[in-house]
This record gives sequence, C-alpha cells and structure tokens, in this order.
Amino acid sequence: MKVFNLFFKIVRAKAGILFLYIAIFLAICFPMVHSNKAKTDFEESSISVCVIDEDRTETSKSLKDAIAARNKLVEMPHDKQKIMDAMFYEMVDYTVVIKNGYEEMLKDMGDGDSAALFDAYKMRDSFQSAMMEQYLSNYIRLVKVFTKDGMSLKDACASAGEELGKEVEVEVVTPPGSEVLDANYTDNFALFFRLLPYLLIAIMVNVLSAILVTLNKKDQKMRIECSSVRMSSYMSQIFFGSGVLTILIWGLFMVSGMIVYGGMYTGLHCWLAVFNSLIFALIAALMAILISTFNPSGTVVNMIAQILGLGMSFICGAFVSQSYLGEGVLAFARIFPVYWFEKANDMLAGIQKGTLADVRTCFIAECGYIVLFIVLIGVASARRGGKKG
Amino acid sequence: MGETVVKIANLVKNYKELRALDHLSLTIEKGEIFGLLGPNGSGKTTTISCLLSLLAYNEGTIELFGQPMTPTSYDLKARIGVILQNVAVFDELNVYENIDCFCGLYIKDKARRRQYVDEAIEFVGLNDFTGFKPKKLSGGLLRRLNIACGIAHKPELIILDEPTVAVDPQSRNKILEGIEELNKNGATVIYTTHYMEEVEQICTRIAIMDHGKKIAEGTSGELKRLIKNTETVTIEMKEVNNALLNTMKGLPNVYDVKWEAGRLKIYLAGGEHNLLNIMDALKTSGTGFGQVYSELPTLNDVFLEITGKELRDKD
Ligand SMILES: Nc1ncnc2c1ncn2[C@@H]1O[C@H](COP(=O)(O)OP(=O)(O)OP(=O)(O)O)[C@@H](O)[C@H]1O
Ligand SMILES: [Mg+2]
Repeated sequence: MKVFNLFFKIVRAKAGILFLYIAIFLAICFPMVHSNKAKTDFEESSISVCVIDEDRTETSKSLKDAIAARNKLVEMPHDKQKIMDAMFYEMVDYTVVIKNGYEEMLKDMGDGDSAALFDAYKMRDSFQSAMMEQYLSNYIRLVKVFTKDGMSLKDACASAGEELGKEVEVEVVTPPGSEVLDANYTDNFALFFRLLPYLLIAIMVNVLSAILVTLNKKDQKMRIECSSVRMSSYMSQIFFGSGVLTILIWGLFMVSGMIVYGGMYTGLHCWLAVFNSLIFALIAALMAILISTFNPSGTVVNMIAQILGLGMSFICGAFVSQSYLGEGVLAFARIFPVYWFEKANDMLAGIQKGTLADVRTCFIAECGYIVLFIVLIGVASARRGGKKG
Repeated sequence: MGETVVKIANLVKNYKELRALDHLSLTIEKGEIFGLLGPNGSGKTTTISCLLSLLAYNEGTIELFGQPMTPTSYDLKARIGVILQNVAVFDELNVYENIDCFCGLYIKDKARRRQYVDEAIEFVGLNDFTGFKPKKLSGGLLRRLNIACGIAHKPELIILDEPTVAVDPQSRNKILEGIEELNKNGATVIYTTHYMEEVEQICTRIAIMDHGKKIAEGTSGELKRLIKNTETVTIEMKEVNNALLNTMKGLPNVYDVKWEAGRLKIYLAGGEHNLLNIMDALKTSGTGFGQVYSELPTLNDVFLEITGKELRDKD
C-alpha cells in the first residue's frame, strides 16, 4: 500500500486547487440557484408614492391607507415644483392627487371613468407609474363592484383595499412541450448539476492528471522500477488510488449539492441526476487518465483542462440550457459526452421533453464514452510502453 | 576476496545505429568500491541501466549475487540501493516523506522504517531540513536527499551514478566520506564518475571506459603502471626556442616535450635525477623561467596515453 499512500500524499499537495474550485463554485452556484427561484416567485416591488388628499373625507383617507399598506408613502405639500423636484431625484416614483369631491363622485358615478377622480404627477411612463395606475383603476373597479352588491361605501373601500393588499399568487408556468416529471427536481436546482461537467473536467484534469504525470515521471518511475515493488502492484495501487480519488471528489460535489439543495436529495429524478453525475465523474476521470498518458507539463495540464472543460460546456449546454442552443451546435455537440449528460439533466428537470426511457438512452450513451476512453487509455499506454528501450 | 557480487559478461547494447556498450565485461567482488570512470557519453549510465534491468540489452549476461538479473528479480532488487544520475524525488513530498516513501518500497515494518529513515537523514546530514520540500534545497542538499532515498533501506550493493555532478565541494566531500563509511559497514559500491580525483580518492578498483568499451582496469596504482609516463615536469616560461626544446628532448628518460600556453611540459618515463638534469639544462641555456614543478601521473594521463585524448573537457 506504499504507492497508494504516496498517491494520496501527492493528492494532499493538490488539495488546494480542489477546494478552491469547490469554494468558488459554491459561491457562484448558491446565489444563482436561489435568486433564480426569487424571480419566479414574483415579488412585488414597493413604490414610493406621494398621496395628496384634497377631498379629506373618510373615503379618501381609506384609499390613502390602502396605498400606504402596500407602498412607501412620502408626505409632501401640494407644491407642483417641489413634487417635480422630488420625482426628478427619484425620492418619489408617483404622485396621486385625490381630487376634491372624490367621495361624492364615487357615490354616483355609475360606470363612469375613474380618471376624473385623480390627478397625477409622473416623470415618465415608468413601470412604477403603470403599476400605480393599474392599482388605482382596480381599486375603483372593486369599490364599484362591492357597492353594487349592496355594501356601504365605507365597507366597500375597506374590502377593496384588503383584496388588493393580498399577496399575488404566481403560477409557475412550464415551457410548452415539456413535462414536469418531478417537483423535487426543479429547474432551479438542476442548474447545479448542469454546471458540474465543467467543474468535474477542470478538477479531474488539474488534480488527477497532474498526480499521474508526477507518478509517471521518467526518473521517478525508473527509480521505483529499481525497487522490489512489483510493477503490477505499482500500477494497481495507482489505479485504486485514482478510483478512490474520483469517488471522493464526486462525493464532495454531492455534499456541496446538498448544501445548495438544502438537505438530503429527495425524489427519483433527483437521485437519477445524482447517478448521472456519477457516470460523468467516471468519464471525467478517464479523460484525465488519458490526458496524463501524454505526459503534459503543469501549465499544459491546466490549459487542457480549461479548453476541454470550457469548450465542451459551452457547446453542450452546461452554461445555458440546450433549449437555447441552435440546431447546428447541438448536432455537433452530440459527439461529446457532456451533451448526453446535459440532455439527461434537462429532461429530468423538465426543461426538455423526455421520458425516463429517453433519460436511460442518455445514460447508455455516456457509458459508451466510458468504454471508448478505457480503450483509448489502453492503446495510449501500450504505445508508451512500446517506445521504451 | 570471495563472493562475486556483480558479473557482467560481453554486454552489448545498441541504440539503433549507435553501439553504446561494446562487449563490456566487469566482475565486482564483495566489499569493493568499484569505480567506473569515463568521459561523457562513454556508456556508464547505460551500463548501470542494463545492470538494473531498466534497459533491455542485445547481447551478454548479467549476474547479481550469483543469480541472473531480470526485470522481475524482485528478491535481487531488494538487496540493491540505487542512486541514479538524475535526481528522482517527489517535489510534493518533503525531505522526510521522500526518504520514507522510497525506504517504504523495501521495508514494510513501520518501526524499523522510522529508525532507518532517521539514520539516513543523520547520515547525509539533512537533520535541519526534514520538513523542506525538494525545491527549497540547494543543489548539494538535493543530491544528498537523493542519496538518502537510495541507501535508507541498508542495501548490500549500492550503485551511484555520478552523484556529485553540480555539487559544491563541501557536499562533495560529505558524499565521498559517506560512501566510504557505507563501504566500511559492509556495502559493496559501484561508483560512476568522470572526475578522476574522486575515483582515486575512494575506489578500491577502477575500470576506465570509452566508447562503450573497457579500456583498462585495476587499482589506481596498477593503472598508472600500465603507462610509460612516470613523471611530468612543468616549467612556466614566457617564451621558448627550438634549441631549448631540442636540448630537453635529448635529456635521458624524456619521451615527449610540449610547449603550450606559457608552460613547457616534459614527459618522463622512469629513471632517476630527472628534475636535476632538467634544471641543469635550463641554467646552461640561460633562459628565464618561473615556477617549476613535477607531477606524478594521474588517471587522466592513463586515459590520455591509451586513447590519445583528455578524459574530460577542462572545467
Ligand atoms: N535513449 C538513448 N537513445 C539513444 N542514444 C542514447 C540513449 N541514451 C544514451 N545514448 C547514447 O549512448 C551513449 C552512452 O550514453 P550514457 O548515458 O551511457 O553515457 P555516460 O557515460 O553515462 O555519460 P554521462 O557522463 O554524460 O552521464 C551516448 O553516446 C549517448 O548519446
Ligand atoms: Mg551518465
């Protein structure tokens, strides 16, 4: 087990890179996964509103309170110049003037236009002005509906304010043609797995290839060949070490994933995504071993890691979902293992249409790469073995 | 002397067109410090590589401890300590870990290994550097680490391939003394170098190589007796004339006279009172001269006389 120990002593020297990658990944991924969620939850933004009540009745006060409940109220005297200045400096987004006679007009306006009730100051047709105008017209509409139902004006105003103050329920709409297969594996969290190929390739090449290159350095290897350690034992210990390291790195990512996920993975789709990443970790490890057979130097190793990792990730849909990539790109991307990983991941998250059988097809394609890489490694090491004296 | 440790017979190694070893035969007995002396490219490293089965060879036989050496002779390999020409340590491991790692390839028992590693560190004088990474060591210290990695497991046969290349004089002396000590403790040593001073200092027997052939073998004294030169007298002088050169050539026992770079060199074969004769001739000629000194033959002279060229580029 001496060579195995040596393997992990060298790993220790490369652990810095490993943890740096994971830390940066988590720092980027965590807010992305969670901010993405906030977007679909639809948060109403509060608006700074100045309400000038010229009517000064109970009814107008009720409206003012309703607005205050949802927005930030700014008190200002009715001075056009001052109001315009405040709006210019963005201290106020929207100013509404409740006209004198508001209560009277509301009582007997029938189906008349609500525009006559208010005056408004606004800088431009901003999102905030649109929101407020929408709000006011909804409010008046509701008050009218409630009074028609026989409510008193006072109660109608209170109810309208209450109704509009409720949180807006937002439905998550899935893209047309896709099936949401599992609510536990959301497209938000799928982002974590989508980015994994880049990380796995970069780390495996930077860590595993670098270690193997070190262990295969001509002078060091020759020195070990002089010793009483059998070459077969040497090779199998290195192989064992590589396997353990691969599982360790993958495990670290799965733990990181749980941190992002906020607990233990749940649901079939989530576990299938985990399995998908395990297959890919093996592919990345084999790729790293294959690269190491060419004995690249330290800087070259890192260059290869970046080119392979970034290149495949870009065209295979690791950074943007495959649904945003062009037909031509995807047709080309098919020859890379990352494509099949991402396709399976997208289908599991319900971003792409697909059944579990389609997901299995992707897994099989990925396993094909495992076989291919093993063959290539065999050929490469035979070629290297043959070159020697 | 007894037990034969290394027996190389008619070894031939070709690198494509180039014949690196040409019917080389060597026999090394237990307890020797055997020096393999030869200029760059003479085949020293190739000999060592074949001996260790790192390299396949074309013809010949190699026996270690009376048994044929093959790539799978692990029991033989366990008895050998190897210090190859290129430093082979792991940059990721510190001094202690490196020695422990290489020692661990031979010694499984942890307690014994710890003791051996400590002894090796003590032996090469790296006590103050155990936590250092190889990149932080000077050239001399790095070579010492390389040696410690090769000898920590207390091998019976120690093979060192040019262990003093690019080493400061202090580390070099430490290394040479160390090798003598290892030998005193019972190890047989094979030592390759192109520094003749080193083999003269420590080797009990020397083989001189050139172009993959052994051109001479014996103790330092035996080798020097092989050649006719017994003494070289050097006279520093600004200029020289043909008359003086001819006078010198005519003196008894002188077989060659050369004048180069302000030095007149007179080569002598045997005889007595040579220096007196030369001084008399100088005085009679009336030529001005500086320092005069007489040297006994070196292995360089041996090499020079056999091959017609210097052992190494002057450095
Ligand atoms: N792998 C190789 N392929 C081709 N030729 C080689 C190879 N290794 C060594 N040689 C040649 O074989 C000859 C002997 O080389 P070797 O390294 O054994 O010499 P050496 O005595 O150890 O020299 P040095 O003092 O420089 O270490 C040289 O001419 C060298 O160029
Ligand atoms: Mg050499």
